[in-house]
Amino acid sequence: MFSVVKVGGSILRSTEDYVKTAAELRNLIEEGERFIVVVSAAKGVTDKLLKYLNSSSKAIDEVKEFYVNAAREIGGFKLVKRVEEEVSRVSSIQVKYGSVNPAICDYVLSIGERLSKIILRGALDLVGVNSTELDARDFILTNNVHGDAEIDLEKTEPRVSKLREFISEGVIPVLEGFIGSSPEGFVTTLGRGGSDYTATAIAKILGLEKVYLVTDGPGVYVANPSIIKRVEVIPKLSYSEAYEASLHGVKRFNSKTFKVLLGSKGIRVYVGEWGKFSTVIDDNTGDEGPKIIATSRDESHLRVSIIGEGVYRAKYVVKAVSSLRDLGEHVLGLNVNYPRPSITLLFKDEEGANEAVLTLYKALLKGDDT
Amino acid sequence: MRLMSSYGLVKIVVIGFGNVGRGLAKTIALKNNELTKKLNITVKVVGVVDSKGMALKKDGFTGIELLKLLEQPRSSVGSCEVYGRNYVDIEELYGEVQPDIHVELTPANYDTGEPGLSNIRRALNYGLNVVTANKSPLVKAFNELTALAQVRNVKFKYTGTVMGATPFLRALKWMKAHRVEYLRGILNSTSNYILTLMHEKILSIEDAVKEAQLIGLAESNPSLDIDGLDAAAKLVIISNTLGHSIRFENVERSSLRGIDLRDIMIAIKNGYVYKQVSTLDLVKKRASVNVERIPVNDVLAGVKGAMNAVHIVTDTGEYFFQGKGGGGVETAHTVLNDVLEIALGD
Ligand SMILES: NC(=O)c1ccc[n+]([C@@H]2O[C@H](COP(=O)([O-])OP(=O)(O)OC[C@H]3O[C@@H](n4cnc5c(N)ncnc54)[C@H](OP(=O)(O)O)[C@@H]3O)[C@@H](O)[C@H]2O)c1
Repeated sequence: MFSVVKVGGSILRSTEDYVKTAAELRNLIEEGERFIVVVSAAKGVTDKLLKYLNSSSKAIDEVKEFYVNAAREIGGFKLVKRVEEEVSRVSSIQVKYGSVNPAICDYVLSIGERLSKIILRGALDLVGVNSTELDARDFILTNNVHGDAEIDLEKTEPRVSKLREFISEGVIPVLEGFIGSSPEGFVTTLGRGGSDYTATAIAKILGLEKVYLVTDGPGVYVANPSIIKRVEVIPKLSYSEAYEASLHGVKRFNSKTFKVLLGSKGIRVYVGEWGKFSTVIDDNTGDEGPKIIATSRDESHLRVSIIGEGVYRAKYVVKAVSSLRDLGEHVLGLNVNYPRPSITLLFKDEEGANEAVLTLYKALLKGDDT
Repeated sequence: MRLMSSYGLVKIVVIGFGNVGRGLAKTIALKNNELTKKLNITVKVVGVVDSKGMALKKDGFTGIELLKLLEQPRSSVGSCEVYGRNYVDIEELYGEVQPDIHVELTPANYDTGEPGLSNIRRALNYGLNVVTANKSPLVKAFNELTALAQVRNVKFKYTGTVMGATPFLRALKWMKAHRVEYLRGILNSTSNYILTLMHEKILSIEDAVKEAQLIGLAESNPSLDIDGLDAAAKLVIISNTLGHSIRFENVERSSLRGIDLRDIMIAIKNGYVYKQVSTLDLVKKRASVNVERIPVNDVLAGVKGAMNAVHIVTDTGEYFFQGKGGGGVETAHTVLNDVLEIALGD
């Protein structure tokens, strides 16, 4: 049985990172794992491509420079030529975001992942891993909602099934996350964090047991680490808790990553960094009660959400509310999101929201009632 | 027909490794097992050629090797490890790999027909079956090439040259009992896509061309498409297929360049749209590719984006064919269907 390893942009910040990643993948193979690699764009590239769509031609030059340098160091002239070919397809045309065809926006955004895949393939060659590049557009079929497409599992199934053939021949397939192909044959993108969604969708389709989401932290923190220093990582979440967490902005997960797993059996998603995947997400509902305190923001409110199976029960609501009695004036309201596993408090100011996170963390997650 | 290398195995060389050539390699890499199960035929690519070099393997590239060839930049198959040669010598290629089918996917050149014309002549003379998606050799020498194939007792198939991804020519060839009298259609995806953008997003022709380029539909020089040459070539092929010789130079043409946004706005207001309409009148012996103002309820007005369509009038009834006009992988499927048909002895 093989797995899916999704390499996140947060660990791809430099040329060395690609080589390190390739070496880590080789280690996994040496440990006996066989897998499909799903790769994101390097850190910051998608934002630069968005800037380019907003008429900043400098941004595309920066993207090109990053990948050309990486290509030169990793694979020499052939790799450089491929990077240049890809970039030239978009850089010759100045496009304005919004005024153009959404299919074009997706095409432009997709080159971040495409280039990243080319570089990672080069790096895998460098460390002696037998791998092959595949084009996600040939495998991942989506609807035509450009910018936020949904994978059509039924149509994707026969194509993704072919990945088995490669793995059984001892080759590691490398394909881009985040992108797919619309029924009209145009590139679509799956929305921010869409590479995770590519990975879990493939696992769901192929009935795989393991998905690794490799990022720059040990796992999913129980609360925002910029508010709570030395915050712990949650060791275990259910699919519905992870889905709920994604809806509340946790780790900027794309919610479709876990939505696609709801109702599945036997797929374990490991979130973390190489050698340390401290959060496991699976089909086991596990213990009831608060697991994560999440912070997010909509147009008019700051939201602090408590996530965990059964947290909508009166005992948890009462505990949460009573722990916040001193913050009463900051709280605008409370939503019990039953039957979803969360409750949400709305705040008017950041100070109150941050204070609430700290208080709730102590009261609900550390059992400190004082 | 020349017999295949051995039962169930068909060896092909792919001349031209651009959008369609790469689409073909990819399709074979991903679908070969499925095809072998379904048809008992295994297609082996034994050689790949671009403008600068070639890669050859006598026993055929494996699926993984084909995918790795796709990782070569343009004009670089010759520098691939082990199998690459940094020169093009097609005779040498034939001699070493002994193919059954020559697949010609080089660019169209309507002035000379080259390099496709010489390549196809050479292949037929060598006794190879030929499949092509390149129109220009057919435009230059339809009768000569089809006759040569007959003399050499080999197959010559070109379904992908018209409506690339849609097997219209195959159907047309099959309709032997019908007498086709008149045909009218949209045969060029790029110009149709550009006109669709001009109507639906009110883009100028320059901006629409840029979008079509970005999406990979239009070439950096879009003249072949927007000046009607590509569609005219298709009319020549259709007409010849039906047994009526016409010359490329005699197809009347007008360009999209004459249309501006003001024309489009006025047309829309009055219930019309502009389309590049290709017409072949076999009774009056006239062929044209014109930018026409047609009513919105005309069946061709509903053919949008990269779609193609043809309405044919025969002595017994009228028929309408619609489908995608091109695309590397899609056209490659048509090319592969031609290959399979030859292999199956149809
Ligand atoms: N694209 C479509 O959707 C479509 C649909 C229907 C029909 N067609 C026709 O199919 C043909 C191929 O189209 P395409 O889009 O694949 O074109 P393309 O991307 O321009 O590729 C053409 C290929 O031919 C190679 N070539 C050029 N001169 C050559 C020579 N003398 N010897 C060997 N190879 C040579 C080029 O080499 P380099 O890589 O070195 O430049 C390139 O690999 C064209 O005739 C086109 O009209 C295309």
